[in-house]
Amino acid sequence: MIAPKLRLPAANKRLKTIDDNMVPLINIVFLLLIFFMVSARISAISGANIEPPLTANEKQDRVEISDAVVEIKSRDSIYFQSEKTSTAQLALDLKEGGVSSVAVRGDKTLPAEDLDAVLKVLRDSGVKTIVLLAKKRAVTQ
Amino acid sequence: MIFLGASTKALLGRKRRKSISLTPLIDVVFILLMFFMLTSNFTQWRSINFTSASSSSAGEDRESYFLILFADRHIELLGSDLSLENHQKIRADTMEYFENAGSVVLIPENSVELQAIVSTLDGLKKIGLSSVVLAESLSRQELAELQ
Repeated sequence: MIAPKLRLPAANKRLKTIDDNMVPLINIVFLLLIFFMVSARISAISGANIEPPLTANEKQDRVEISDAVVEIKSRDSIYFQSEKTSTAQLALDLKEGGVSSVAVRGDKTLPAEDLDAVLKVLRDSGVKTIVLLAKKRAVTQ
Repeated sequence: MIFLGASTKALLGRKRRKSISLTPLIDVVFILLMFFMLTSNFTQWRSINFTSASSSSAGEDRESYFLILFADRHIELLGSDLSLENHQKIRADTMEYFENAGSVVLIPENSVELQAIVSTLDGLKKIGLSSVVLAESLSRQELAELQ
C-alpha cells in the first residue's frame, strides 16, 4: 500500500522566508554578544599608549583596577585617570581627592629616575598604598 | 438572521498573523556585538607590591640588605660577594645571603628600565622575599660610592 503523500498547507510554505535561514546566524551572534557582555571588561582608552611591563610570576596578585590609576610614559607624559597631567597638577588632584591608594601603570622602557619623580609626588601627596601594575606574560613552553 | 456558534466566530475573527522581519533585530545585535568586541579588554593585570622609599630613609635602616640593580641588569648585594648576571639567576640558593630577618632594599641605577625592576621584584618574590623596599634610583657614580 502506498502511503498518501503528506502535503503541507500553503500558509506554512509562505512562512519559509529568507529570515528563517538566518536563525542559526542570529543564534551564534547572540551567543557571541552574551560572551562579550559577560566576560569582558570595558575600560577607558587612555592616550598614554603604554606598553606595560610583563610578569611571569603566578604568585603576583591578580588585580581589578578600580583605584586611581597613574600612567607614566615618560617624565613629561603622565596621565591621571586617563587625562594628561603634570607632576604639579597630579599632586594637587591627589590631595584634593584625598586619594590614599594608587595603581601605577608605567611603560616597560620607563627609566627608574622618571618613575622616582612620580613616586615622590605620590608619597608627598599622602598616598599610602602604591601598586605597580604589570601584565601577565603568556606562558610559553 | 444567522446565528454563528462561538467556534465559528473565533475562526472568522482570527486575523492572519504577520511574520516579523528579523533584519532590524540582527542590525542592532550586530552593532552591540561590534561595540563589545572593540571596547572590551581581556588583559590580566598583576600587582607588583613594593614599598616606595627615598634612598635616604632606606639607608637609615642598617639591618637591611641593599641590592643594587645596574642598567645592564646585573645585580649585586652590598657588603657581600653575591653578584648575579640578571634576574634569571635569582634562585632558591640566593636565599642563603638573606638569613637575617632584615628587609631588602632594591636600589636601581637611574637608567634601569621598569621591566628590569619588575623582573627583579618578581624574582625576589619567587624565592620568598616579598616585602621589598624600592629605593630612589642613584647614578652610576653614587652607586660606586655606596660600594
